[in-house]
Amino acid sequence: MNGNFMTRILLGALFIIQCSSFNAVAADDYRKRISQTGEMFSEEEDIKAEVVFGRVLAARILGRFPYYEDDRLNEYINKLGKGLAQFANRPEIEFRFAVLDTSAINAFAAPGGYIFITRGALAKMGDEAELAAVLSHEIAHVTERHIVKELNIKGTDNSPVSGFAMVLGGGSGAVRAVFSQMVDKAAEILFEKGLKQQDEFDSDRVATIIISTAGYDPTALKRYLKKISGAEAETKSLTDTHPSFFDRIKSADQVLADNQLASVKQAIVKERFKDNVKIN
Amino acid sequence: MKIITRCTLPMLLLLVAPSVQAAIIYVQSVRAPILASPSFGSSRLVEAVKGEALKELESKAGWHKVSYKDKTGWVSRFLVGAKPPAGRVSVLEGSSENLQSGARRRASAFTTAAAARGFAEDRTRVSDKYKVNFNKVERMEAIKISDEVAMSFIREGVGK
Repeated sequence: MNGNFMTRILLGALFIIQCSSFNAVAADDYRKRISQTGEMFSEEEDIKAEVVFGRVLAARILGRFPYYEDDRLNEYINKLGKGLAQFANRPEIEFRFAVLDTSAINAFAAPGGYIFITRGALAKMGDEAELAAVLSHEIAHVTERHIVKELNIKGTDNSPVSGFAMVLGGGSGAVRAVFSQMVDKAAEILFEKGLKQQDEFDSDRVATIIISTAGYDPTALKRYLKKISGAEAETKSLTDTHPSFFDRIKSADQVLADNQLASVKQAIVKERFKDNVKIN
Repeated sequence: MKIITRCTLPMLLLLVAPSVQAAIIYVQSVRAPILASPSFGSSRLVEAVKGEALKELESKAGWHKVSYKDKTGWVSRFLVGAKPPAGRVSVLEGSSENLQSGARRRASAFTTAAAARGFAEDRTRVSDKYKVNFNKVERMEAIKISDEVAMSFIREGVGK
């Protein structure tokens, strides 16, 4: 009796463990199962909140700087950017890219995958690897959710952004006003205050990882930072909101050294860049 | 019966041991090199692709030590996540490829899209500090490039 009982317990436990072990490695089955739970639903709402927030912030960026009317160039930037984004860890985000018509050297990322680079930043670049590095730095701000974490943007009811879920569902005027203030805060971060310095260093690190995994020259970001470090007038908006070029170049050197990437030779892609980026 | 019990117990222990030690992480990027040491310059043992499960053995300083196929190596935390890669989430109508199915997904996507659009229209009235331009946001969103086209573009560029 006892032996029979023990056997049943063991066989039952064995069955449960077998099932859990199988599920742990069967990604597709796991996805199907978890998609039926509330947990994933709330995560999806958080992502939607992020995209709606980012979209409204993107409208502020495009309200401040004109869209650069060059379809070929914008298509090129999108092909490159969307390709690079596939080497990052947020496949649920649809990344979108646009060139801003300003001589200032800068780039911006809004949550939800809205990414911008200025005409001035492109004008200083010499090859596609440098462009890939700057776009990847912005992609990293999205993948690392820097603004999302800073402002605690969530789609669920317990978000400190009071009533954000209601905004997603239509929202009242008061709720929308709160939402609007949060977007203004994010715009202030982008245009005036800047993110945490560590966030910028982290994005530089991730950018180097993305471009080197994709097959581009790992030193491209460092090369570009060195190149623009002398352009004081054009980089004022950048240096006001980012760590100094000296510190970023030093940090880039450290990332390259830590990863033994300083002397790794990978693609620079000069010709295709020159064909697509014709900015004086 | 005792024989069955004796045979089952060791099997149980064998199965429990790895499941307790190893967590599963999933490749989120299109590909993730598994490296000999926690450094991108170290030799590439094998490459996992998006969606594949890796057994995590330990983690340190932005790296996970993993077991994959018959290899044990290191993968960057920037290429993996705790859950299988999700489908793309969109707030725009007609482009939602999200995780749920059925009416709930469609209703959710529609409501959010409507909110995004309706909210966008209100923005011109609410924000005093910044100008907004949703027409150009829509211009950005109108550029359609598939993941496959973008990936081919990268491969052509870097010669891989």
